[in-house]
Amino acid sequence: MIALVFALLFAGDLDRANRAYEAGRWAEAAALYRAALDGPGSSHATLWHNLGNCAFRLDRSPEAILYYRRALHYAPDNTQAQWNLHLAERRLGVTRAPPSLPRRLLAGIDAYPRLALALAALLQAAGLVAVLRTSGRARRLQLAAVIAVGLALGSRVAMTQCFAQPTAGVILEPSIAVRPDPHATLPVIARLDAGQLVRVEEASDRWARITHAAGSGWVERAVVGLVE
Amino acid sequence: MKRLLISVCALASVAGSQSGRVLVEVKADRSRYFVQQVVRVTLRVRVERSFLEKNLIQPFRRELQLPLRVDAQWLDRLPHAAILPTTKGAPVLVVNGKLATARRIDDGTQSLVVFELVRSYLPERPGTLSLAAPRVRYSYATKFRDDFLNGRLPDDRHEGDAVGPKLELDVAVLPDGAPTEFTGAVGRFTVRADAAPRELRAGESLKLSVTIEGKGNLMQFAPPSLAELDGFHVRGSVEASDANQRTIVYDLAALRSDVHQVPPISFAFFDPGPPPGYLTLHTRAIAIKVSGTTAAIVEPVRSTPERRPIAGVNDIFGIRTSHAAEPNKLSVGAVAVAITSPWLLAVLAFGLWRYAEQRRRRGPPPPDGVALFRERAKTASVRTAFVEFLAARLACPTAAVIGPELSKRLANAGVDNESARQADALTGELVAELYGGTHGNRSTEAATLVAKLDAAWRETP
Repeated sequence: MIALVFALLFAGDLDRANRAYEAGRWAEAAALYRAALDGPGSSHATLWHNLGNCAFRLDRSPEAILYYRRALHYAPDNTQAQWNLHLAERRLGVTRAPPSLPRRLLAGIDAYPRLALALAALLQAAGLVAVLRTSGRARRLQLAAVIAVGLALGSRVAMTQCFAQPTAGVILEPSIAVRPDPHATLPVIARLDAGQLVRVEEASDRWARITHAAGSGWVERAVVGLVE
Repeated sequence: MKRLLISVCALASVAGSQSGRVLVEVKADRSRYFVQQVVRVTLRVRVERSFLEKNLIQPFRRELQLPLRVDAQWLDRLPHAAILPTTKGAPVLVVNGKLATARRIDDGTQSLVVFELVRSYLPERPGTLSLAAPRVRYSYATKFRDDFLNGRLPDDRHEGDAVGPKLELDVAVLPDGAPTEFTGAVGRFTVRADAAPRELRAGESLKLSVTIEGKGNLMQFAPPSLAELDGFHVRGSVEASDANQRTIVYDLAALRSDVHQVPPISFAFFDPGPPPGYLTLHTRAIAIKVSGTTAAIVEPVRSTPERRPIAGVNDIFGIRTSHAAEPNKLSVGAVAVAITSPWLLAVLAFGLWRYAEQRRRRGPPPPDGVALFRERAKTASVRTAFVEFLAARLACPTAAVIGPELSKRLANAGVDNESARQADALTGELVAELYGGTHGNRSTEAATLVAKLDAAWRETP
C-alpha cells in the first residue's frame, strides 16, 4: 500500500517533469527527473534519457553525454538515446572511430546476455553430443571449435554479468589535466576534452585513475562522471 | 460462408493467390526505412464486378462506387509518423466511419474492379511502424425487390467482415557522416539554379531560383543556406512548391562590382538507396555582370539562418514516457547453470546413447515365458507346455529336458535351488501322469512356477 502511494506520488512528479520539459522549462524538468530517480517504479533508462535531453537543451553537452550513456547502460538498444548521444558528442566535437567488428560483436553479446547465454549453451550441448558420436578426427576438431565458441560466449556473459567491470566515465569539463600520480603539483602528461569517454580504474574522494587512448593517469575525481 | 477475403502483404508479395469476391492488399515499397524517409503505403481493394453490381448493399442513401467500410486507423493516424497531405476527391467508400476517396485503376482484368488508397508517412523516430490489420465490413444480399419509394431493397440482408494480417516496417536512424550542407533532406533529388537579371549594379538585387526536384520529404527540410555566399547578401526568400518540386527564390543583393558569378549552390541529401548514403549536389555557377559602386552599400552582419529542428536529422529525439522494464543482471547461479548444463546434458545424452547401443547389440528381449506357456497349454497338455518352456530356457531339445540332472541344470542356468527342485519334481510328476500316475490338474501350479522361473531367467545376465 505504501509502495503504491509512493509510486503514485512519483508518477505525479514524472508527469510534472514531462509537462515542464514540453513547456521548455528544462531546468525544472531536470530537477523533477532527478527526484524521480530515487522513487520506486520508475525506469532509470527513461529518466536518464530525459535528463540527457534536459542537459542537451540547457547546452550542457558533457552532462548530456554522461546521462545518455547512463540511459544506454540500462537499455543498450535504445536507438533514440544513441542518436541523441551522437548529437551531443558532435556538438562538442567528440569523435568516435566506428567500432571494429569484434567490438560490435562483444557489444551485441553484452546487450543481449540472455540470448547469448542460450546460444552458448546450445552450441556447447550440440557440439558435445555430436563430438561424442563422431569418429573422424577432422570432424571432431570442427566440433571442438564449435564447443570452444560456445564456451567463449558463455565466458563473456559470465564475465560481464557476474564480475565487477571497470567503470566507464565521461569527462565533464574542458581541457582536463592528466597527471602521472595523484598530486596537483606534478607535470601534466595529457589533456582531455569534455565529453571524452574514459575507463575509470580506481577512484578516491579527490582523484580518479583513468585510462584513455591519449594515455593513463590521474585526474580530479570531480571532473569525471561515472556512467555506472 | 465468407464472401470476402482480406490479405495484407509487404513489398511486392502478392496476396491475391487465393480466390475471393473481394481482395484487399496493403503494400509498402520496402520493409526498412530511415527516419524522415517517405513511407508510401498502398491499400488496394479488388472486387469481383458481378458481386459489386448485383450483391453488395449501399451503406447510405448516397450511392458509393465501392460500398465497403474499411477500418484501418493507420489510414488516418499512425503513431510516431506524420501523415503527408493527400489529394482530395469524390467519396468512393467509407474509411474509419468517414467518406473517403480512392483512385480507380485499370489492372487489365474485366472481371474485377480495382480501387486504391495511398498514404504517405514521415517516420519521426526509429523503431517499428505498426500498421494494424485492416478490417473490412460489408452488407450483401442475393435477393432484391423493387420498391416504389426506396428503389432496390434487399430481401435477405447479410453482414460480413474479414480481418487481414498486420504490416510492420522497420525505421532506422540516419547514419553518421552527414555533410555540413545537410539540412534534413531524405530522398532522391536533383537541383538546378537560375538567376535574373544577369546584369545589375552593385547594391541591386537579383532573383536566384533554386529548384529541388524529386521524391522525398520535399517540404520538410530546411532550404540550402546561402548565408556564406561570398559577395552577396540574402535579403530574403520566398518558396513555391508542388508535389514533385520545390523552388526557393532568394533575393540576393550584389555587394561589390568585382563579383562575376553566383557561385555553385551546394545541396546535400540522404539517399535511402540502395545503397543508402549522403550525396552532395552542386548547381552550376551563373555568370553575372555587376557594374559601378553604390556608396550606401554596407556589408551586412551575417547571421546563421534558423534551421528547422527535425528529430533524428539535426535534433535530438524527445523525452521518453514509457517505462519499459529494465533487464536485470543475470544471477551467478543462472549463468553457472547455463554453462554447466550442456556438459551434464551431454554426459546424460551420451549415457543414454550407450545404453541404447548396448540394448541394440544384445538383441530383442526374450519373449514373455508365462504368456507363451499359457498359449501352448491351450492347444497341448500342461506337461508339453511346461517341458517346452524348460527346453526353450535351457536351450536344448524337448526330449533332453527330462533327466536326472534337471534340478542341477536349472540351478546352473540361474534358477534358485528351491525353484529348480520344484521344477524338477513337477516335471517328474507330469511325466508320471503320462504313465498312469494321477495328481489332478497341475496347470495353476505349473503356471506359478513358470512365472517364477521366467522372472529368475530375466534377471540373469
